[in-house]
Amino acid sequence: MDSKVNNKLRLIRRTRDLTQEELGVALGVTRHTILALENRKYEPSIALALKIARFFEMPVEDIFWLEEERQGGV
Amino acid sequence: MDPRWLLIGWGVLTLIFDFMAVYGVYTSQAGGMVLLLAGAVSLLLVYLLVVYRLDGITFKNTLVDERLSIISGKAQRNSFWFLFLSIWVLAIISNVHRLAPSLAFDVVLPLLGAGTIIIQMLSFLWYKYRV
Repeated sequence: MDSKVNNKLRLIRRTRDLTQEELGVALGVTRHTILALENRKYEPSIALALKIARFFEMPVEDIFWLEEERQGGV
Repeated sequence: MDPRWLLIGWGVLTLIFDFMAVYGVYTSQAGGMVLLLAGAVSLLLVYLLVVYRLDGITFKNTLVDERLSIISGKAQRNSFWFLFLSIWVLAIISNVHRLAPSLAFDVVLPLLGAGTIIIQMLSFLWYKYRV
């Protein structure tokens, strides 16, 4: 089942010219977890989401958002 | 630590064990079970090599990865469902049909254990690679 939390992790990662492996090393997770996040097959914990935001020096909500929010639901 | 060292160490141990198993069977000091175990540890080594190939250097994060911990829990739940249901089915069959004395429990129980482990492993692989 696809995640209800959408993200633009792949876009940001590519903008920063990082591989999934490099991002995995930086965040302390496996490459497959980065892949699952980018494909919306996994919702990260709050801790991992904050780690990602801190790594990219961006607010969490600029990277992750609830699907219904961008559809005008909230 | 570079995970390659872990794999090399594991590979060397596997080779030693496989050699000892074959030698043991060849000299009739060990039974076929040792060969089965040798096959199992070799399979595990192959699995680790495949995971290393897929995950690269992030292989070292396998034990601390939050997603893998969750997946591991789900796989365990699936295998326990199998175990609980199997025990219940076994109990019902043996009581309803009065088969308890004729059931080969020394075969059935190891099969249940093996089935539980296999389901856990397959569930883990399914959840992990279904991305």
